[in-house]
Order: sequence, then structure tokens, then C-alpha cells
Amino acid sequence: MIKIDKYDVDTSLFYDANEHYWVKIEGNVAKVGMSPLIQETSGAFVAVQMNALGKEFSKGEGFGTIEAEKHVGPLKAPLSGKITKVNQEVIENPRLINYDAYGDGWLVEMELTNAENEVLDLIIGEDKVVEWFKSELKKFEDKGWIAQ
Amino acid sequence: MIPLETIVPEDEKKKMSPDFVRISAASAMALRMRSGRFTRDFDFGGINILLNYDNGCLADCGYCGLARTRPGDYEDKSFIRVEWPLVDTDEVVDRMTTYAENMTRLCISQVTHPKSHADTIEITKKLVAKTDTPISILCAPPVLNREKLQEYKDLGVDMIGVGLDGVSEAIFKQHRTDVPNGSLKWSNYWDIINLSREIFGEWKVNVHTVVGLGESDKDMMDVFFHLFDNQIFPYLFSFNPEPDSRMGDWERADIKRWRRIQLIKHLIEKYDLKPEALAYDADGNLTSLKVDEGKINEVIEHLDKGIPFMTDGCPGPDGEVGCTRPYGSYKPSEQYRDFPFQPSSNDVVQIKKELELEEIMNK
Repeated sequence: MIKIDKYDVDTSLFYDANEHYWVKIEGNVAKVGMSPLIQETSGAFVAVQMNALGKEFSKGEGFGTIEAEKHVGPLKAPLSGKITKVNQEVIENPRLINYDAYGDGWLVEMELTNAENEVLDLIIGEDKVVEWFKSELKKFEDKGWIAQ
Repeated sequence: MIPLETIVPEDEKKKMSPDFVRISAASAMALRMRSGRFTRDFDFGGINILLNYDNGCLADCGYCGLARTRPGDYEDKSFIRVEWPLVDTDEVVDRMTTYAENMTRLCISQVTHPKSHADTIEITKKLVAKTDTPISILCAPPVLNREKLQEYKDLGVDMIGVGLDGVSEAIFKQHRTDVPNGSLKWSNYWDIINLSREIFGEWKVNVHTVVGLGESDKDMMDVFFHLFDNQIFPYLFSFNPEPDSRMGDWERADIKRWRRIQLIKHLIEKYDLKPEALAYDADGNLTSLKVDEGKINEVIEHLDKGIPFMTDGCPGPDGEVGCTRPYGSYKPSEQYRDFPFQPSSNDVVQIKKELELEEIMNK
């Protein structure tokens, strides 16, 4: 975990650059959660809907929605695979994502079906993660989404 | 940033107006006091602040998140379903100057409390000393009179709003007078509306009207005609139940009724639609809207632009709506009840389906 600006960023994980997920891959299983930057700029999460357990999703396909005070958006699979676990605690208490994005606020676990090819699209490695995160932070600041 | 887990820490519970105010979540985002974003990107600069007291609002309206008998401490209550962070008034004023170019309007919402007037004066003085952003006051009639309204005008406040909410005397009494700790009076609200109109002038007063408190369509239209006839703006709000409030399990107005009320209010305002153009059944439900053949295309054109379905609110410096209250009447996951931006062509397709205008048009 390293500090970038005020954010603790786990640089040992993969990141989906577009959707701002962190992805922890162990063998053929991926655990997925929201990046600290997206959790902050979404505001307080109020609802997570995932009718996804046991279903297969292609990379980029929607597997649910996530709603904050002033924002709602789709949850899109960062990799193709079958969702084998859904974090029920997050569904019951969506603010867990705000409190603990890397820990108790995880979203789903997936059994991957095309990891070999798709993982290349994710960001990995401390230098690349830091570079990506800083650039996104700048972009979000320019949009006025970050408190100052 | 205001940490989520400490929005109302214990040591802040005595931080009261005028030194502290509550601010809407969207306003806190616009002033960069809180991180956040909207589902769709649009310019937003309509700041809403709310006076804050340890014993809260002394009224007890059935639909309001701040009602006295709603369970929970006043400090922990939501107002229009989202938290309103407690912030330093001076910091709000400073940030209003920092982000001045994005600011379109600031509204001070009073609560029914004996200190409301004096604190509104104090806060307004701070604002006018440092910003050019137009200022509205959403006033609490029980604590006001002619002299106090005149003070606001003299300070530079250009718009006065009155939250009548219930559009008929019966509905007002049901939700605001005949309630556990109620004392609000229909006549007092109208006295203040009329005094405000006299002091502030034509189109400088607005009256908040809420759709879905049990009123009929006719009740709603009658109050629109009366207000427009007196050069007063009605602003529309869609009742959205506040959890744990006495009306927490009430149904909202269905979307068809809401859209029709939006459209007809717009036609009264922009097309001089007369009461004779509307017909109702015995319960006051709208059954017919008659529009001259020559005007139908014009109406459809406006409808196609989506203008009638945008939020109505006090104007910004450019004359366009400066207070757009995003997600004030609906959740982000729901269809926009009122749009804080011009609806897209896809939105208009959806709106037309919701309106089912053919059911009532020239019937």
C-alpha cells in the first residue's frame, strides 16, 4: 500500500483503468472492488444491486448497479467469468465501500474464463499503477469531483 | 473533505446558525467541500443552505425530514432524504468567492425557529459583503412580518420563496396544522406570500407546491392560476417519502400525473392557458386539456425541447434557472422527475410515453 496524495493505493493489485476496479487474481479466481478514487468521488453509497450470483458475464457486461447520493452507474465485469460470490454485507450496507474499499467493501468474486487474454488490458505493477492513479486524480480534480 | 463517518460528530452538535449552516450534498460538491459527481455531467452552481439549531425546526410537518416528532436526534435527520453536512458559514462565503464564476444562486432556507430571522440577516450580510451571487430566502412565515421582509429586500435579497407545499387549505391543515406539534396556519402563509409580493414586486416571489400530498389536480391548477395571476411563480416539487417520517409509507404521485402537471403549469405560464381549457371529474382529477389547433404545434415544439420538465427555480445572473436541485425529488436510480439540465431527445421520448397526452388532449 502506498500513499498517493491522500489516498492509500494497493499497488500489488490489478486495476481496470476505465471502471476503476481493483482486481485481486489468485489462480483462476478474481476478487473485485472499487478503487479508492471512485469511492470518494461517488459520495456516500446508498444502494448496490447485483443479481449476478452464478451467472456468467463477458468483460464489460453489466452485472448490477451502484447508487450514491447523487450518482448511479452500472457495475461492469472487469474480466469475463462466472460470479461465484457476492458480498451480501455490501448489499445490506453499501457504505462499507466508502469505509473500506479494499477490505470489507469488496463486491464480487469471479471464476475467470478468459483471463490469459483479458488480464493484459488491466494495469499492474507499482510504477504503472502510480502513473495511472496520478493521471486519473488530476482528471477528477479538473472535473471538480474532488473536495479541496 | 467531510469524512463520511463523522458528518455529525458529538463535538459539532452545538454548532448552530449563524456561525454554522447545513448545506445540501450537491452544494457541498459544487463548493468542493465534499467529493462527488452527478450521474450525468452538467454545470451546477445553485447553492442551498439551511439554518441549524440544536432544538431544530419547531414545526412538525408530516412529510418533512426535519419534523419534530420524526424519530431521531435533529442533528441526525436527513432533509429531502440525503444528509446535509454541517459547515462553517464563513467557509461557505469564502468558497462562494473562490468559485464565483460557477455560482448561479444562493438560497438560505429558514426553519421555524425564533432565531431564524436574526441569523438570516447575519448570514445575508456576510454574503452580500463578499459575493455578487443572487440571493433567495426560502422563508418561514411564522417568524416573519412586513418589517423583516423589508429588511431582506434592503440587504439585497432579490427573491423570496414560501414553502406552502400543501396547495389547499384542507391539505395544509392535514399535514402542517392538525399534527402532533403543529401550529402552522394557512392564513399566515398567505399573508406572507402577499406581503412578499407587495414588497419584492412582480415575479420576485415564489411559492413551493408539492404534488402528492393528497391534493386533487384541480387544487393544484387553481393555485397555479391564482399565483400566475398575481405575478408569483409556483415552483413544483414531487413528494418523495422521507423514511421514518409520518408519511414515510405514502405513495408518490404517479409519473403520468406528475408529467401532466408539469406540462400544464408550463402552458399556463408560457401560453396563457385559461382555466376553461381544463376539465375535471367529480374528484378533481384532470380529464381534458383543450389547446387551440393553431397552438398545438407550438406546444409540441416546446414539449420536444423538454423545457416544461426542467426544474423550476430562482434565476441565475443570466436569467436562466439558477437553482436546479438535482435529485431533490427522486433518487439517482429513478427517472428524473425534474431535469436539472435540458432533457435529451431520448429523455423526451420517455417523457412523452409517461405523459399519455392523447388521453386528455382536446377530449
